[in-house]
Amino acid sequence: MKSLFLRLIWIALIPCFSSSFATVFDYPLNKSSKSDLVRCLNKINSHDVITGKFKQIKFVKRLKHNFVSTGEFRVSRISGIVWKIQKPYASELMISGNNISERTSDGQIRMLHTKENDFFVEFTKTIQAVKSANLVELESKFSIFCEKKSNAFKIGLIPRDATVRKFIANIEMNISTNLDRLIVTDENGSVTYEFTNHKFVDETVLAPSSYVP
Amino acid sequence: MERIGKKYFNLKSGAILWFVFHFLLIFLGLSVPWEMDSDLHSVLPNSNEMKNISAAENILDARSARNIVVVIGHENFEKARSAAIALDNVFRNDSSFDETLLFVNENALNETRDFFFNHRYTIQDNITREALAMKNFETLKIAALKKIYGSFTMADLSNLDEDPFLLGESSFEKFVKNSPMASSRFHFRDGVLYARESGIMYVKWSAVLSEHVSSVAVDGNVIGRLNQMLDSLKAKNEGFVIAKSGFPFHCYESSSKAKNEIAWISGISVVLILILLLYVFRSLIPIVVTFLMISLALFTALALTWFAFGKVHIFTFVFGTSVIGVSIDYAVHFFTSWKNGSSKERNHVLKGLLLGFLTTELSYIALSFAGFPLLTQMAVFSIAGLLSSFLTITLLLRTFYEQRCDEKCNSCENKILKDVSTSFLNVYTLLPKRYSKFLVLFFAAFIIPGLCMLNVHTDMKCLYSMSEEMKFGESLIAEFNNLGASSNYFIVEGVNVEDVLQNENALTERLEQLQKDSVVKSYLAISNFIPSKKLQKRTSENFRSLFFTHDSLPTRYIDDYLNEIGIENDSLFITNFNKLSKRVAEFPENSLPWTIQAILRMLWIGSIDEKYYSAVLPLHVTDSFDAQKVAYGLPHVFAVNKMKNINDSLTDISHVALLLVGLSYVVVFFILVFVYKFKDALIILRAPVIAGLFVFSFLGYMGINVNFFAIVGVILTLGIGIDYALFFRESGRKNLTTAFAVMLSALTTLISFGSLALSGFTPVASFGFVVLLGVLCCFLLSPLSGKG
Repeated sequence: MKSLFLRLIWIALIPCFSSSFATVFDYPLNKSSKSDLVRCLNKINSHDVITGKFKQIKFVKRLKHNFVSTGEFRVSRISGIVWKIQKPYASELMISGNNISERTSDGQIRMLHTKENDFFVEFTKTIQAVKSANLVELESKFSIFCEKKSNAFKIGLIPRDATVRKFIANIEMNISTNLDRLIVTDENGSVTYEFTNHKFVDETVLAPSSYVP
Repeated sequence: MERIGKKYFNLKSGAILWFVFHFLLIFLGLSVPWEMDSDLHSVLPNSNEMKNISAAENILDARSARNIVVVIGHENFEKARSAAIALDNVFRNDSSFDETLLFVNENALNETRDFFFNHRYTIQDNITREALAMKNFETLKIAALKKIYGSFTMADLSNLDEDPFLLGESSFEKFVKNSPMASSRFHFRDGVLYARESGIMYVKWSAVLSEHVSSVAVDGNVIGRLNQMLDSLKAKNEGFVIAKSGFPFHCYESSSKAKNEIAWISGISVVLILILLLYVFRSLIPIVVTFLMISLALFTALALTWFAFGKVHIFTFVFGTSVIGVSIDYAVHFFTSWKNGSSKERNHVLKGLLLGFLTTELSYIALSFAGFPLLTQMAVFSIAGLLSSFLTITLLLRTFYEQRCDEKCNSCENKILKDVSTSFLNVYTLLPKRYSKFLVLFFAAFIIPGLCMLNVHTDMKCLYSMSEEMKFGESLIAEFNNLGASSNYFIVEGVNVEDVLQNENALTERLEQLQKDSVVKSYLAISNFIPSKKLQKRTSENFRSLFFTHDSLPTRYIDDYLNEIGIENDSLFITNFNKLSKRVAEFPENSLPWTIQAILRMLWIGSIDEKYYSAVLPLHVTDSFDAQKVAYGLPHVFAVNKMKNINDSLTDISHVALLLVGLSYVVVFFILVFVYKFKDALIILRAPVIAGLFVFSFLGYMGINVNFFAIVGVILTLGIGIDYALFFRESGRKNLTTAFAVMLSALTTLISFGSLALSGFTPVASFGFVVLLGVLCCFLLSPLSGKG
């Protein structure tokens, strides 16, 4: 009797385990999830400028170690992205169009060459595509997966180009009222961004230069 | 003259001499292989005083002159890529190409990264080397931590336990920053390189032409076949955009145009001259004989030139048209006089021919000393050709016609031409003496201001005009490559490879400073990617000294750092250092990554006369960049600006050529004083000299730079013009036969050289226009040289 009871409980739990092992990549984008996704992207992109704080967690598989940084970000539809790491070591990245520049701790600005890091190029293009709710652009570059959970979405992107897949295996995004979390996974580990303290401002009020100290 | 002829040459001996001369030259010419040379570099003067540096420049130029790039564009990337693949499939195994490149090794960058990772203790950027030398552990540590904790995955952290200071990353970053890839707009996608412009995706295909393949337009030439395929792609009208770049395309296009031009220019001028001569002589015999005489002269000239030089440059043919022009003049004078003149008149013509021949040959002999390979070749060609024509007229034709025509021949007198000659001469006879003197003075006064405005300068860039299609291709591909190479660069010399790399360091230190001062944006040097062995060993020693010797940093500093970044065991770090610290990169080595080999191919010149040479290219230089100043004081570094050096050399040679011809005219003057009187010699020389000065003055007034080719034209004018003056001097101003012959000669010369003035090639057009103007002037002034 007891063994039967245990077996019944086990059988009842199997679906729960199954569902907890399911990832966003089990939910390819379909017609209904597509329209939901577009609504969701339009909602989070309804502002010109978004600022906030982030926590960056770099996980290196081989070392089984996390490197945690914190900082502030600013994403503007017009002037681009500013990514300011404050702790533990300050650095600042500015992305505008095809230009990427870095401000060092002594205030020097140096232009980065996109050839230095293909991942970075693809990543920024992806962010820009997400921020501009450009589903067509996203679909051309990625296979899109979408899982809806109550009022939140989980989006998965797998690069279509085999070369890009070598340095970005996949990207996962958690979106509720804003982009809450973004995880980029490659063969060596992952980089997780947790975004908090979102604020929305008008582009004309706060230009990028005044944001950067 | 006839007394001299009878005494020294009976007519039969003359014919034998003629035969021996031609047989000898042709035999010598046929004893060597006949080769054509279409390489522009071989006709240009050595732009550098030092032979080896010049040879190094030529190797570099010749190498880059074989490269071609084609980009195939379409809005749809896949279509552009497929078209590029189709192109590659056709030409990949073509023996005319040493290599073709479409597909890029996807792992090229990773292989390069691995290379720098494996050589991280020997190849480093300046900041890291400095920190190691100063034993500045903090700088290394902070730089590594910034990358580790920095944004995204800017640095690959997967090998942190082997390379905790991310030295491999900093070395790779330095490579990317300094390599041509950094500024290039080409990106990698689906195995190919592409760039985007105005919504069109351009896929890149490139190739290197084999050394033995010429780009001159001949049937079956690979460039022609390539153009055909690209044209058919465009013609499909499916939205393809094609752009091409590379010297072989320019050479093919120019030579195609030249072939077409030669065909219609020479065709029209030959037809016009044939019609004119037929109208005048009313017989095919003079025309056929003239044609045979010119053919023989050209063949003889070619034979001697081939024997003397081994190769004949195609430009020699262009400038060798002087042989045709002057030969026709000789023939016209001969046949006109033999048809219409008495025995006494024929002797005057022979004397005129002899003196004219001698003066023209003297000018060419003077040119052969100008120190310019093409000029020397052209002079030899012209000397031999003119000698052949002169001997044919005086030794062979005279033999034949003397037997047929002892008395004056009155047949076929052309009334119209006789009236025209009469009217022409009447202008001069009716002109009062004082007015003719006034005219000469007025002419001189008109000339002088123009001469003051003269600018003798040759700019090779102005001598070539690109088609719109080529302009578009060159500019688009240059934008995509964004290399920013300048015409100013450096050649570094050394006794071996290591010496060259060490000598490069002295130069690159100065270039680094110029980079900081924003005078240059970057530069390409081999030592930037593969430093000298000395520097590599020093870097490795400094690292060992900082971490692994008895007076190194205390181990707790290193342990603290390793713990901070999650490395508990430093054994991998130590083992790897011991394994890699002696790994010195060398070249030439096939084991180097493809990306570095591509750079080496661009910069490494190789060995010349037991010395070794490399090139250092400054990129995106500003106007304030002075290569000579940068190289000043560096004994094994030579600043090169090929275009400027060639332009300066051509300008100098132009001055020398003019001086030499001026001197030859002084010699001619003395010869004429010996044959005629002092005053008569001056009068004879007046016409060609004034004509030459008039041409220069005209160019001065028009603000046209007198380039090298215009000067060659003036030299030819002097040679032809003096012949007209001599004929009038011998026969007298009122001699209708001479006037008629000079008119005919001038007309044929004006038609043949005038048509050259219509050429699309600036050098040929300059040459043709100057001869046209000069000969016209000579023709108008020559009757004033005659008596009466």
